[in-house]
Amino acid sequence: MKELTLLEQMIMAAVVALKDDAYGVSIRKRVEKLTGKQLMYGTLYNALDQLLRKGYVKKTKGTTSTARGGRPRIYYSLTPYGEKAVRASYDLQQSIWESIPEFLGD
Amino acid sequence: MGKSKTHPPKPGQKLLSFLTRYEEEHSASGDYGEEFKERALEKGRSRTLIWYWGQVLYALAAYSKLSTSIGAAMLKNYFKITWRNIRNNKTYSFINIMGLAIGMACCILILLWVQDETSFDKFHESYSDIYRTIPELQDTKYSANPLALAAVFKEQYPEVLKMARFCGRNWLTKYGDKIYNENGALVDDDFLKMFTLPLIKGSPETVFASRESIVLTERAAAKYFGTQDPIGKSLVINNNTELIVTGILKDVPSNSHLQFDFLAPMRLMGERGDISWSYEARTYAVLEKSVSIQDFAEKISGFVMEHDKRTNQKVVLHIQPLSKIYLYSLNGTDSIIYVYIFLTIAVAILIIACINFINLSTARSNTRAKEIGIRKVLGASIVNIMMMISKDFLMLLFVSNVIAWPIAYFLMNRLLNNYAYRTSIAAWIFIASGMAAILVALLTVCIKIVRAAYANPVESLRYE
Repeated sequence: MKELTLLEQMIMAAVVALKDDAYGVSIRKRVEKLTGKQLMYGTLYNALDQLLRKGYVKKTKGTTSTARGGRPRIYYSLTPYGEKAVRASYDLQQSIWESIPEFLGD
Repeated sequence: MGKSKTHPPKPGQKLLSFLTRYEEEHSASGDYGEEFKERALEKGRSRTLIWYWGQVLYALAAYSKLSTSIGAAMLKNYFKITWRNIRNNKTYSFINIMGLAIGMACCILILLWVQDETSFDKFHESYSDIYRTIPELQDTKYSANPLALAAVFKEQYPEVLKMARFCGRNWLTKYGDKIYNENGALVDDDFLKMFTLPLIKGSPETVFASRESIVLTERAAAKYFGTQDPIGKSLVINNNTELIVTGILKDVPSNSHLQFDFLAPMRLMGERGDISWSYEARTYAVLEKSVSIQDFAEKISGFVMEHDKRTNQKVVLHIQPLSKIYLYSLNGTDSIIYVYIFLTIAVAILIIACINFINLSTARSNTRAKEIGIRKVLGASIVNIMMMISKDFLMLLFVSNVIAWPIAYFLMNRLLNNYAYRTSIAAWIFIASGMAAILVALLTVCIKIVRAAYANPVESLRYE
């Protein structure tokens, strides 16, 4: 299993947090809120493509509305493989920062 | 309309769904639409539009980056090869680039000249309605008309809306110790209303109210008065007439067939100006738009014979539109011929430069047959090969353009300095000639490229 990039981690965390409401708009907003920086749709879609290709994330078609111009929402959720990747990524992060406690201690 | 206020513009959606797979994969237009509505209600449509187009353009860029990321290394390699090809074949590149650049510079220069020539007198608002009368004596046409013609002419033909004479001469003009020989003209009051020659000071209705008045161009005024206000100052003309400056004209554009330093009222000529049938004044008329010029020309042809009782000489009166004054001559060759000749030359130069460019490039691509063969064997697709070859051409074309534009601009500026107050350089000519060169070269090169790309690599590698 390859390590996740920071963006991938943020997106996957957002997907987990949003539960059944994780689709393009809501994911983008959540990640933007987290980083305080603008996340462009192009970047988001590219990252989601990668996650889909790697099999971390799966998508399901949702409802449509007039605001969406008749286009259905695409909801994203983690696959079991993706859940494993998130945990592994968390462990890795932990061990990274735990390796320099005296630096972070001050 | 209420609906479109909160909906993103269609072209952006089309662009995305046509060029990327975001629409199919993530139902992108839905996401954009949803957020567009939210933002439009919150921050207003114009700000949302900016946000939206930013998102779309970024998405396009992001998508192309993703789709080429696999081929990125290949792409980098192609650019490197292109640059090396230019560097390794210095003579070839030099001839190729300079040939095209000089050809294009010539072409641009000629087009600028043509643009200047064809722009003559077009700045007049009633350009298409102004005509001048042309008398013909013994098979020779003249621009000078009898002084008395205008008044009688206007009275006789109701379709004439305005009539003005222009009697240009050289005058010795004196102000204090400054004496110059000026190219001035006596004109009728309607002259300034007829032609679009804007006054900086004074109004067209009142400048010629007094008989002893004079209107100077900005340039002439600066010559006599410097920074002083010229209005109310007096100039002495031909050592005997004192005229008061009543107005300042903006300098006459260089692309005008009428050129003068000052204007004074026709009345200065006295009674003679109204009754004499001596041929001295250019005579302009504004005709009604509805008038058929052919019929009108027929009607007036005998006008001078009818009214000038001095002689029985045969005089035919013609009419000439303002659009034909500069580029067509009264007797002999029309100068528009030169415009056509130069245009043909410009096109020929461009074509020759392009042919030269194409020939040299073809010769080069033949020598690269082996490289192409190896690339194909290694799995480059036909599209890849085409891209590679055309990139070489594009690079050369680009460099030639970069060289040609400053050359043409510099030469044109030098030329412009010789003629004071010429028309400005139009940017579109540069762009157009660049585009033309690129188009011609690319179209022809395409055939060569396709042939090279489809060639069987075995042929080129057989004897290695």
